[in-house]
Amino acid sequence: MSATLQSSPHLHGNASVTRVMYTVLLALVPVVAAYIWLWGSQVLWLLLWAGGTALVAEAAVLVLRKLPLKVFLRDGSALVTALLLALCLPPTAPPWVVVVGVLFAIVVAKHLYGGLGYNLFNPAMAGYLVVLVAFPAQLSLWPVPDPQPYSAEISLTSDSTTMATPLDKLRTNRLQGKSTAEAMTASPLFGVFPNGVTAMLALAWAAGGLLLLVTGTIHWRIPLAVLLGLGLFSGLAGWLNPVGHAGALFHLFSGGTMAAAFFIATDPVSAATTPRGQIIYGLGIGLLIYLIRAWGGYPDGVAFAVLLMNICAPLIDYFTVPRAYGE
Amino acid sequence: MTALYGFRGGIAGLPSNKEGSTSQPIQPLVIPQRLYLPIDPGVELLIKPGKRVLAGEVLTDSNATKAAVWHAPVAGRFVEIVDHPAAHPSGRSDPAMVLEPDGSADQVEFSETGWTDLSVERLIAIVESAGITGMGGAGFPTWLKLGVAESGRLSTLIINGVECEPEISCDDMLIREQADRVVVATAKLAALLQVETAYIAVEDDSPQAMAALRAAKAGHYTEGVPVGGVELVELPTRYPSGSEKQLIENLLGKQVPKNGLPADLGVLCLNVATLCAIEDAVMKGQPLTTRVVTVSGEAVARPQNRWALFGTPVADLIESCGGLTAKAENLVMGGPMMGFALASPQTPVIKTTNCILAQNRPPLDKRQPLMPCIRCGDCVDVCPAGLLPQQLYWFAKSGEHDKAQRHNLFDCIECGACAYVCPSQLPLVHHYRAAKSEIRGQQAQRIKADIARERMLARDERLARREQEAAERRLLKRGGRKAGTADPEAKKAVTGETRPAMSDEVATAMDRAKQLQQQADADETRASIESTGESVDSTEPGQGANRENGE
Repeated sequence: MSATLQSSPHLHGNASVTRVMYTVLLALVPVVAAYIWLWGSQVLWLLLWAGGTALVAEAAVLVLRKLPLKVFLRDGSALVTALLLALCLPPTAPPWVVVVGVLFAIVVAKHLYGGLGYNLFNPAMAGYLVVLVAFPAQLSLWPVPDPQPYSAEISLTSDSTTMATPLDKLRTNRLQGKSTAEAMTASPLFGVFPNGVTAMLALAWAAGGLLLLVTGTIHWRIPLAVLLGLGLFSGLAGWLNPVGHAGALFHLFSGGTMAAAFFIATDPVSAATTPRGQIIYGLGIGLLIYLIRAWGGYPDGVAFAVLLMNICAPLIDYFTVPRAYGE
Repeated sequence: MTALYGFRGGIAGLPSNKEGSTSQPIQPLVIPQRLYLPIDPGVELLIKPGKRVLAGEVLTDSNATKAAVWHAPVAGRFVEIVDHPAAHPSGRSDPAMVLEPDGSADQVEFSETGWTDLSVERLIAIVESAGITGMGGAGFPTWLKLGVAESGRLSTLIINGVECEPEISCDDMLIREQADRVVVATAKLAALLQVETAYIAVEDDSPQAMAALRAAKAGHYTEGVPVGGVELVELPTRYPSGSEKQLIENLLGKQVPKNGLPADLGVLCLNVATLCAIEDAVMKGQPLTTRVVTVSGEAVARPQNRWALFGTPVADLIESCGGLTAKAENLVMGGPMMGFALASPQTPVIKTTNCILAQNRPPLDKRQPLMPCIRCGDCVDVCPAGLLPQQLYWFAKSGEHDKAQRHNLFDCIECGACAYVCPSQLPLVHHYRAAKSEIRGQQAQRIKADIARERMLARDERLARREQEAAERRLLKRGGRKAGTADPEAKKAVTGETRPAMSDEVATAMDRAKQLQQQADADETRASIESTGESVDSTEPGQGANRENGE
């Protein structure tokens, strides 16, 4: 008989935070595979740097905060943050860029806000934004894939080893005063879909996302709302002004859309948590991504959109308390 | 086939663990050496300690409270009153009657009534004197529940045989063995209460119970007993489908209004064991002194269902099931989801004791480290009350009671579904319970404070009144003195020559004194205005007196 009385329930399912985190890591396999297929195994070094930095930083902060090292180091949350951040970067990004990003994510965005479960902002996105703002040159150059999905693409790039992403192209064209339609007809890079590389990555992220949905790791509300939000607004803009705006499919399959919808926006700690709130939160991210892409200063707006909606999450939750039984 | 509406939230696929206890029939009574019957606060004992009692003899009178009466389960001696571990989540000890059975079969004469010629009023009286309370859950007095039948609002009778919690199988076994009785009693009760529909609901993980009910219904139908109106419903196994509100939602597609009762929907919901107790009381005049208890858990040698007398210590009950094979790390009264841990194995079986669970697993927090809440929202999906358990957890933990209440903390039915699915292994229900009791405590404090404040105000008022009276009396004296020069009569009145009949005399004297004072004041005011040009308000006699003092 134990001295203190146990509280009901006296039965517990086998769900665990660790299991959730490792499922997310497993769901990243298609993405890593796509990276390797496109650019070779160099991405593994990037992931190694990211994961190593994360574990060391996590351990150091845990020791400083006098928290149980074994429990929290093994929960996998630091690895999830690190790998998500690394997979937002070009595979050729220098290791120190990754190290800086991951350090900021783990030490500042995660632990200075209270650690697992307490962070207001998505740590991976916070870390990514820091390096995006600090080292724009290293982050905007994506290497030309090894087996080229589109042979025509290579002639378009002045540099034979790196290429601009479709979203970059779109933004450059916009800044040069060219219309989207002009850019699209002038470049085989564009179609209804963005180019093959980007679309392939998007599909890899979506495949991982499906795994998360199927295993019940994430709920459908946020991913669907993000895709719906972005699809709706980009589709509307494309329909109203086909000359000035790329369509919904282009936006859904380019940049970080799929990663954001399934892996980033669904981070439960920093997302809205009420059922209705999650829909609003997702739609908000979708809308913001579109606004930033169409009129903002950065080619992609995923990280900004997520962090902005992170700020709104508590407020959204407060105003979307569900109806209780019998109310 | 009745169409089901389903209910919000819930968990399908809890490990049921009922195979052990359902593998044999309900085992007969074993009479322990001593019975401990709790004395509810406020009830009066009708028997003095030291007296012999017969089986079925009324021991307590609870007219002053809503508590059910207790009857002696067997003949024996009422030895003493002791403080004994109570069947209560707090683990506290309460006064209990100690009864030593003497092995004789002596019992009081029971007077049967029968269903024919029974009125609702009479039924309620019978149920109350038989001490019947709900035997499935919270133990709400059944005669109060039946009271709604008198209002004529009743349209649906639901007999709840849905044992949704793992391990518990006492209702299942009761139905299997007494399906005839259950079906007939349901039909008779439905006819008496004049409801439109009567359901008997069981879960689909107990096909034997359903088969028994079907056979019973078919048998009686052919025999001409009007049981045709009784609808047998099989619910998909999904915790907590046996909870009253969820059962009603599932069957009728309507939710019991917030802060309301099933009666608001015209529904009367009775546990199947409660129904049998009513039937016993009506048909045999027998009071409620015994029930079926499931004894289960991995530490129990032979899991089974047993008939048990109220007051039987849990230890005796477990002993009659072959004792323990392992150390009972956690002894639970009730099911694994909503039951409460017992502080002592001497705790007695009471009317709501449906299950005794002896677990040999160490506490959850010793098995797995608690992790912080990651707001995954799995708890939201399973909450049958439509709450946000993850938010309530924050508010409960940080003492933000107003927010917790805004998030409907008090609608939590403590079913434990949230804690079951929580990946962080958080004892969520524990936090909610603590917050609820804290809020209730604060409310009680507030009421106390309000009463204290009212008393304080009343006291201040009283003191002020007394002060004023004293001042008036002083004034009267002075007024009298002053007036004395002009009117000897007044002086005589106020100086106390007529003290014995003070009140009247004082009143007239005061009037006179006031008039004089006013006159004097008016004179004085005129004088002061003339001399200083200052306006002085001197209609208040007290001021006049003060001024006089100052002079």
